[in-house]
Amino acid sequence: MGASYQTVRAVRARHRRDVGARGDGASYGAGALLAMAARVPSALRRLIGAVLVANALDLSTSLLPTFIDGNPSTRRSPTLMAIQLALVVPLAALAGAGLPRLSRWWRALPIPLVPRTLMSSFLLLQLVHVALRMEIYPFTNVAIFGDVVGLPIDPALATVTYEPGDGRIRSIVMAP
Amino acid sequence: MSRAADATAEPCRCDDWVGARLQRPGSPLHLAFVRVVFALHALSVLTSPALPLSRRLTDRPLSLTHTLVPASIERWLVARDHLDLVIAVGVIAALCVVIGLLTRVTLWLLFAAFVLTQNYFFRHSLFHDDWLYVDFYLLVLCVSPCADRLAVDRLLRPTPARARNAYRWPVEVMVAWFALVYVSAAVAKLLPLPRGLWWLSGGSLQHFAVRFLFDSPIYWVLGRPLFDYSLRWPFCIGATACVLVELSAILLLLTRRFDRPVVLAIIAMHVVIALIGVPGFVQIALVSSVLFLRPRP
Repeated sequence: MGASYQTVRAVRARHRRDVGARGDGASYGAGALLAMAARVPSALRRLIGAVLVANALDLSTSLLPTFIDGNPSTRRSPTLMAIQLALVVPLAALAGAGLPRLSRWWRALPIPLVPRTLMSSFLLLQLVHVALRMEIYPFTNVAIFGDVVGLPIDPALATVTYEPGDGRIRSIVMAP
Repeated sequence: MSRAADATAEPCRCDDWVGARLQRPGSPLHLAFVRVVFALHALSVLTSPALPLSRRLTDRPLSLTHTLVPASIERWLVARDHLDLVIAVGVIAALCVVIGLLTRVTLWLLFAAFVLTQNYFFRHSLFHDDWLYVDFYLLVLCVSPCADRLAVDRLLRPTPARARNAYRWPVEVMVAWFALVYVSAAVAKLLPLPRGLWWLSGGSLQHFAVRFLFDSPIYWVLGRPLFDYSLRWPFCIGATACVLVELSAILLLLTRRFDRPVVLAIIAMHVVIALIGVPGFVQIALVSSVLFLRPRP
């Protein structure tokens, strides 16, 4: 447990080293946020992180209209939207503060540069498509089987209507 | 390209679990086996009747699909017999990759042919099958030393010196992609949250089962659904189980301890989906499972 705690000074010093000791306001704020996060027990930190990520994904996945979603999402109330957006701020600040470390980590990966660049670009684009619930071949959010109700919208396809009775199919109507 | 880089790869400065996994020594035989199996799978896809069938059904892409492939290339592909030409190139390239002949060149050719033909398939059918997995697998194979064993190339040239992890990182990256596909599917089902609640209610799965009823082996055998598909609760249980199995793929990234149960659960899930009427993913999951034969640790 003790190992998961770090002193505020150590975390801020590491952050200053990461960002090159620019000393601007945003950097200072992110450093302070990181320092605060470091004082939280690791299990709780992970839980909070998961909630923040889920909240951000909930927002980002409903940004764009998707043909897969036959049933449109209900609109958020302004209060809920404000709360969700407010929760995105610390996540964005933490992500910004962590970028230099991420960059160093990526360069240190034991994979040759060309494959690393190619595969990372592909992975990154895929993650963007997942986060925005977009699908542009060859990237996808894999949502096609998530809401089949809205699937056969294209006029070239047909829809099926199910009329159950005594556990058997009475009729299936193919309607263009 | 990556061959020279492999030999001079820097010692790893990653001290986290990702770095530790990537720098473990790999098996050239395993990576070569993965190459052979994936190429055989690509061969079976390229020679399947699905492409000619979709070509006969419609001559224009579905308006709901989007692609990064330029429109000029798509037009060229459907003009005259260019699609057949690309399929033929892909088949020859896949055969060469299987036996390991001119692997560096033929892998890129196979990758290009596969991406183009799968783009055609997706644009004309809206279905997600092999491209979801195999596009990335082939890209990784293109930039990895996957022909150091089980290859004709090795009879012509000796194997160059490699970094100790040169055969490991490609497999670990493909495992990560496999896990990412399933976690993405779970995210797409659960988020946005109102849609997640709808999925967990079983409504989507119920509609799915009904829509694909005539394609279902259950219907072929019994001549009726397995149970009354108007009941919601069995689909609610199924939808929850499906998301849990997909989310369990995260474990593939974190530890090797649960490889077997997680992969078996994923294959079992696809078998059930096949019984409902969408059979394509069983073969892909089985083919992908060769990745998990990698040596320990």
